[in-house]
Amino acid sequence: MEDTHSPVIRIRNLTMAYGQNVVMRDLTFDIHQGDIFIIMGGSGSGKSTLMRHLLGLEDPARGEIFYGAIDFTHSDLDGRNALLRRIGVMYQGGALFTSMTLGQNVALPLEEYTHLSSNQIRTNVAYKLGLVGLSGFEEYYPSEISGGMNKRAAIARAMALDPQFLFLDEPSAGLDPLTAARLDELLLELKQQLDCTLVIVTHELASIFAIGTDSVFLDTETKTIGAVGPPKYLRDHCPNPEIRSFLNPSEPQPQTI
Amino acid sequence: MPESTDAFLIAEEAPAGRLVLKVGGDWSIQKTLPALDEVDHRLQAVPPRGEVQLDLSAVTGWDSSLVSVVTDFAKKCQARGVTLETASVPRGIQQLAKMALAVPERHVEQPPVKEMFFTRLGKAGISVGSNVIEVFAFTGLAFLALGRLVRGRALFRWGDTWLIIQRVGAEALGIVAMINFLIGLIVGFVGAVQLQVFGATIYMATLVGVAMARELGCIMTGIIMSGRTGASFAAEIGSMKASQEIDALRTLGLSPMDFLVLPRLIAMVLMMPLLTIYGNVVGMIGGAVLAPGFGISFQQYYDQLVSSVHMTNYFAGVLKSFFFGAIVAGAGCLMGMQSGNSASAVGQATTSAVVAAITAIIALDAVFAFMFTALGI
Repeated sequence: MEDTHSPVIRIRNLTMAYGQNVVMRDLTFDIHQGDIFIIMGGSGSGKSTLMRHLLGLEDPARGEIFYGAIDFTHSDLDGRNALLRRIGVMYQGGALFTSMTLGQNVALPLEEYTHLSSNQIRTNVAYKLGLVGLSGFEEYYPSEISGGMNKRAAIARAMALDPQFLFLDEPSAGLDPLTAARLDELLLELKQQLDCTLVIVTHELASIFAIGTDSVFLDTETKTIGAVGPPKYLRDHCPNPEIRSFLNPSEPQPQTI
Repeated sequence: MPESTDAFLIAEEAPAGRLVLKVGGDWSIQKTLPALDEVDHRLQAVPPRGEVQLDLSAVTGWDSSLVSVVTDFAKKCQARGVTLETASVPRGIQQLAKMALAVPERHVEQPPVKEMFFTRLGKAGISVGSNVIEVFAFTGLAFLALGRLVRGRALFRWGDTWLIIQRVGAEALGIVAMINFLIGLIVGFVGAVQLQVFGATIYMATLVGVAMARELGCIMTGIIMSGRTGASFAAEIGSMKASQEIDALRTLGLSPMDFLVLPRLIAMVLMMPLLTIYGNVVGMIGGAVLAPGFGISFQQYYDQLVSSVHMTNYFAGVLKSFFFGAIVAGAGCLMGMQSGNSASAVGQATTSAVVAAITAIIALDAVFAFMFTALGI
């Protein structure tokens, strides 16, 4: 795939901080239409924090985030909410509403934001749950199904409004390799069928190489971007040996001791 | 296998100012181990650029107890620039010690500094101030959400509200009845015993009636509800926050204020006065149960109650209960929304929701008492 498509999310000089404690500074990179964009980095490097900033759950200490031509950082609440309707999010633990059934969870955004009849909503919910391999589970509560099923149901909810952007926070963490691989397959399929842009926070190498088309590496040491580029390219050609060995653990580690 | 002996650790001065640490015996975490204090002192006494020899040739068995000691020595020597000679240390121990020392310590945050009393006092004062600001901000947001609801623009679900009304209203009838019944009984009993002295036991009806209608009915119901419902609101919303459900709501473009707080606030403000009226009646029945014991018939008790407890008393109690309902729901929701993301933080949120609600209820009741007196009600 060539990089001729236009950037749909632009991050400019983003500095993230909790109080005085700077997590990452001066992040500038683009996410392009149709990408499966991987945010990677070591534990505690601020991957999830970056995602929270992209979603407007945290305000940047400095810098801007643009979605297309919209300045997300300086939008008012209505502007943000309008944009958020084009975004689907899957949180680390699923974050399904525990007081609702899976069907109600997926139906909620449809009920609030569309004028579909209840019958149409039911059909749509059944289809979305079917996509993630959970057809017939409408009446189950999140506590009654396994963790992996929770994650898949969360993807179904994230896709409820046919979003343009799909954000996933560690989708395969805590899943066995087989289930994780199936999840990757599902994400790839969804991206191709629905033509959305995926932003995935992960450090699972298998899925990074299986589905990632572009990526940013957050470097804990320098507290900024370590590298930007397709993951496979970074593995083979990144000038930074630490990133090469992160992406290719079989390569000998740089000796620091 | 060599005979197992007790572990020992001896520091010996060797020629040329060297310190030799003789370690031997069976080092096991299950057995008694030699004290380290003396050796530590000796180590501290070694001058910088000195030399320490670690002699482990007499060791017959070892586990992490010995590795940790060796690692500790290595760390101390390294810090003071002392050479540690480790030729006789088994390879296994060397490898393990090296691994423990190799992982760099990360300073994510500054280590907590023990603060002086006045610093802590000042910070506590500042946090009280910011808490007050948050309460006002929350109140403002709640009114904005109410405004959106009135204009039909809130993302509000009546279905949820009915469920909450059932939970905070109908399901609380039992406990509210029991507590108010006992309170009526206690007030009646204490009052009657005192009034008996003057031969005026009939006035116990007035006492129970006025006390329940004006003060105790709404206060007791408020306290019960803050322990029962306020706590559950805080725990519910707090754990939703911990599991990122609040984030999920926000990224769905749904305001947690409209979606979670408003239904709870409305349910409490509607149900609290009803529960209070109910509690008043049950409390007066509690007093009535005692009446025959003091030679008052039910009819006399009833007549005295009706003639001496004026409507204004009931109105005063019911008026207050609207506010108490808002306090209970508001404190529960606010503490839940402010909760941290761990299980213990949810517990803390629950505690502070109850404490804040009860404190605010009593304080507001005092304000009302003052106002009613000034207005002559």
